[in-house]
Amino acid sequence: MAVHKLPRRSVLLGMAGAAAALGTAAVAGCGSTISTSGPKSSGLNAGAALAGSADAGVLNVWGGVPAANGPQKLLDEFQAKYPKIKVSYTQFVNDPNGNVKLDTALQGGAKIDVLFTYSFDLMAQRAKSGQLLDLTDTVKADSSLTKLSRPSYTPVYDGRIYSLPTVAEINFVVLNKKIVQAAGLTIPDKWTTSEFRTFAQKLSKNGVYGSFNYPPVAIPTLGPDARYNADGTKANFTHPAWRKEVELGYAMAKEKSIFPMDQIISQQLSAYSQNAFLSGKAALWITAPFSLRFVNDVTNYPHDFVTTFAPLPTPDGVSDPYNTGLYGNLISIAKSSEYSAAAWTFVKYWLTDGAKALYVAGKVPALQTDSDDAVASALLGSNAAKLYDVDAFKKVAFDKTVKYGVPTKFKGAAEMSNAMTQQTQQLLLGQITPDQWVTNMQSQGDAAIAKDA
Amino acid sequence: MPRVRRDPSQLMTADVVSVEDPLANPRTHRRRHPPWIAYAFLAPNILGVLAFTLVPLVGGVLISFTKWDVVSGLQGIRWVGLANFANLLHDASFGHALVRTLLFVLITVPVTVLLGLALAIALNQPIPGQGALRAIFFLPYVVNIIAIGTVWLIMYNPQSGLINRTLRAFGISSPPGWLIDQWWALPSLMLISIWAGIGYVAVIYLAALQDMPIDLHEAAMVDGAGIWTRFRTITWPALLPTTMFLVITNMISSSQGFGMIAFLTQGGPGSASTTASYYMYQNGFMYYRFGYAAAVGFTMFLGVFVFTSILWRWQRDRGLYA
Repeated sequence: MAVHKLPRRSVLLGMAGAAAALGTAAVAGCGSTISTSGPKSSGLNAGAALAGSADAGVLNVWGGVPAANGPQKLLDEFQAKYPKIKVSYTQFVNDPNGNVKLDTALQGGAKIDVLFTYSFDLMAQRAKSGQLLDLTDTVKADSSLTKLSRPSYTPVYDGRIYSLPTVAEINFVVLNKKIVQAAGLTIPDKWTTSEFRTFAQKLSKNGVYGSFNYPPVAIPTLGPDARYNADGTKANFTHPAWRKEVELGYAMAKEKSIFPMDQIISQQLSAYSQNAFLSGKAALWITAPFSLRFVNDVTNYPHDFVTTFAPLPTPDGVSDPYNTGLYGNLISIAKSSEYSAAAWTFVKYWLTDGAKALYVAGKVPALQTDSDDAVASALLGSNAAKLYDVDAFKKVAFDKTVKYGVPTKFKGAAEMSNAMTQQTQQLLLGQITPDQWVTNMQSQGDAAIAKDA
Repeated sequence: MPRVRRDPSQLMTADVVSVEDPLANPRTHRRRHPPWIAYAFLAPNILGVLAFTLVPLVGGVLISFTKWDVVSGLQGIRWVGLANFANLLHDASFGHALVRTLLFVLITVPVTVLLGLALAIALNQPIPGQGALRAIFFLPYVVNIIAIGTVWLIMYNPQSGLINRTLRAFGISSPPGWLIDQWWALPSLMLISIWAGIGYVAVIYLAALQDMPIDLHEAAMVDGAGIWTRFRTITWPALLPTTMFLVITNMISSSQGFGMIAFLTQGGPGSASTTASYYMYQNGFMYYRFGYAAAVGFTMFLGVFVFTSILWRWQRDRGLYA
């Protein structure tokens, strides 16, 4: 009787062939479109009507803020108001891995109706790829959203609105009042970057660094697209404003009036910068309202000084500077949502009444409906009188003259941001000079833009 | 029942017959099932390998010939042929990352293997607390990488770290900045890699040493061979297959090292510790250039494949493996 054999080599070759075929199919997807470029955004869903009922549906929301820091409360209040819309919240970590996880989930057909994007270039990428619902007509038809239809607050892609900012994130300077007063200094209402440096120098003694970080010059001078030339085809790091900024940082690092970069890296303080300020090791700290939750948390960050506030310093010779803060934490509706009308109900709720639930996370609503006093009271907590100079906060945080901008150029943005982090680390460690920083950043910026061209 | 002593030569003969000619017995032959039944039992595993190994592997290779940002979905994939590989040839950052990876592999692998061997020989001696010592040296290999990284982060702190405080105590006034120093960042990571890998190498060597027949050493000692001669002529040749295994597996894992870099330096300062695998991560996960990242990965795979093939051929030519 003959013995039938399946040769091992044949089986292995068969497996490899099947893998190649399946792999090809997986990569090719809809084979006919493999060689086409990404779809054009405009017209993708322009004027698309919202689907389903505005008062009923099942929504999946993906956001970066932990549920316990406000979103859960917002969801509970929303459910009470709209019992027929069932909402579940998934927190993703807002880092490269977390965002890729969200994108692959979107691609994999996961039911995501509402999502948050925390960087403008990623929002543009998601809009370009047709993942986000075009909200332009819906926003413009709603008179309560007039403020957010202005280009100085809301990013647009190809002239269309795909996301709305939920948070107004002004940048300001927080000061350790005890150290400032001990040095006999007066907290300024208005100051320049040079004055900031002198101020920090005077505070730098007895193991205290004047400031945690140095003030920006380029974005306040040039606006949020400071990294690009006028038509966005080249980097713009040879502009004198960038040179002034890095010369300032370099000088402050050398004279030790800012917190040393070697300690920022060694103690991983770039993610925990509150440690330096609340431990009294840095007297000034350029930050945003989201940091106030650490000041409020006297259990984990015990401190015995009052925190006061000053505006962001103005670059010398600049009369109408931009604030480096932004209207951000962008909320969007996934184009694939089956319940986009209900999703819009949720988005509007988050932008208006729901936003109050996030005061606890230090989030000032983009559409502020409460008075400044009420928002300040909610942000600064029950211990405000002991922890803060409340009047200074209200004056600085709710300054209506502050100028915001919205970035509009995104080619190579992520690579440029990473290069800036790396080069600035080296600059502040004294490993490169400001001249080298400018040269390196210009070439790396140009290369990053060219790669995305 | 009395035990029957059998002639060992008969036993051996019977064994050989049963192993080499199983079909010689017609009754055994009749009970054999057709081979497709065996493959049916293997099918779940084959499907698993196809779905979770081969398809992603082939998919990864195909992606390296495309421009893809993930966000655009499968319909956003654009076939670019060899463009990614052509760009790699002109990409200075990739070139530097490749050199750092080579340095990392060429230094950490031999040092880890040699120190692991020395440790295994030491632990193979009858010393008190031998079991505890083996566990202690193996511990870094099994401890979570973040825990290890945190300990080293504290030790490497240029101001308050144990290492620099010790160096200052010995009169070195300007010790290196370690992880924050552009010249020392990569060597610092190499040191951690070596420290974490020695235990594993030692355990594998220890197993090989304990399998080694002692009578060879006894015979050599009777012939007057010293320690070094016995190591050179008996121990080392016997350990060569184990050494090759350790060199190859360490080379593969070192060239793919990522976790410690991501946690401790993020490729910095500047790009001083950006190896090829971290560069791949940057391009894929940070810049959303998955086609380019796949090309970096495929190039790395080819490099490791060539190195491994050379080593296999070398050991096969020396008769270490058939």
